[in-house]
Amino acid sequence: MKNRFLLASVLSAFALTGVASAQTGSGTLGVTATVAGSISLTFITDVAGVTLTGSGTSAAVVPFGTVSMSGGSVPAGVTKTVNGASSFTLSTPFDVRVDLANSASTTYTLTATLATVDATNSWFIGAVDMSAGAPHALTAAGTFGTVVPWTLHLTVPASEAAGSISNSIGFTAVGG
Amino acid sequence: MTSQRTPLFRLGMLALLTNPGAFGQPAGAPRLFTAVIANPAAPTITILPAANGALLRNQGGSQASLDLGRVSYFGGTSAPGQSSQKHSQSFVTSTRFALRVDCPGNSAGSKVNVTMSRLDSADKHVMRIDGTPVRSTEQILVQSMPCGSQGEHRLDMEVLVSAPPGPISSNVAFLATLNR
Repeated sequence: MKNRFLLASVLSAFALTGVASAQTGSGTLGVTATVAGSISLTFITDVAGVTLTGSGTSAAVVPFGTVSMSGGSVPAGVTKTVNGASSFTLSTPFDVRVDLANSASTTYTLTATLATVDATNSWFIGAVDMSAGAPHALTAAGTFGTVVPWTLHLTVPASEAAGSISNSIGFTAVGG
Repeated sequence: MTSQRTPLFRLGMLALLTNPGAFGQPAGAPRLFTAVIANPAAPTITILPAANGALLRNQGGSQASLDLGRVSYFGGTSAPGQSSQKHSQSFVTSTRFALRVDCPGNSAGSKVNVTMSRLDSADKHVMRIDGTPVRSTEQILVQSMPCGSQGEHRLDMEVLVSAPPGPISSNVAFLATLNR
């Protein structure tokens, strides 16, 4: 009888221990993703240039407004140069900033391409003639995170009929 | 006299524990002692997709996986059920998932505390659930969650812009403890 009591006591102790211990259940959530390096190119109004429509974005517009070779006025930030009797040139600086994330690249190359070949007017960025439409290198060693000024020059021949001029220039930055 | 009554009392208790009839059970019911002390089954956690969350794969039992796909600072995320937010030095990809807790064998009204902890030590990304960073030490996610219920949670994965490109992964452990 003594042994049975001892056994019962031991079993009771185990039972009470079991009741007192916390009941737990678990689960696991695995989370995966693939981080891709990315580059951002932003057009910014230059302090000396015309106010860009869409400044601070990657799709901006340079509004030269309505201009004429002789007389008239140009928007603030736009310079008009009359080239004798043959043409006049509109110029304005604009800024480009290229930023980088999740990449070991230290510099970038910047190319620009005029969307539609223009055989009448001349489109220059800095000293680079874009008119033919092919990609043109602007820099091979751009520094990320810095604002770089560029100047757009549009030369209109005096022989051109009055009317609207519109084109697009695509910019491509590639981390090196 | 006292020294004799105590053993008798203990014997009486033992008889109660070993006599099924004493608890109104059928005399033939076996192992009443076991029935009295048996623990209810442990709580179970099920990880489920949220209504507006990313695609979540249940891998059986209480295991699930969530693939946030390709994410980037400037490109964000394009996967359905996810959103992305840029900060100056990092970006956060967010989605939602649901946790369900069941407590088989426990009375209605039972509740659990749910904790979370991170099982990996990657330092280039931060995991947050409902705004609380998930660390290697257990932290309370839900207190007094009713058994049989489920709730949605927001998962944020924050990646530094200085982190190298490539795959990242984390495992978050959830633990449900029955309240007593």
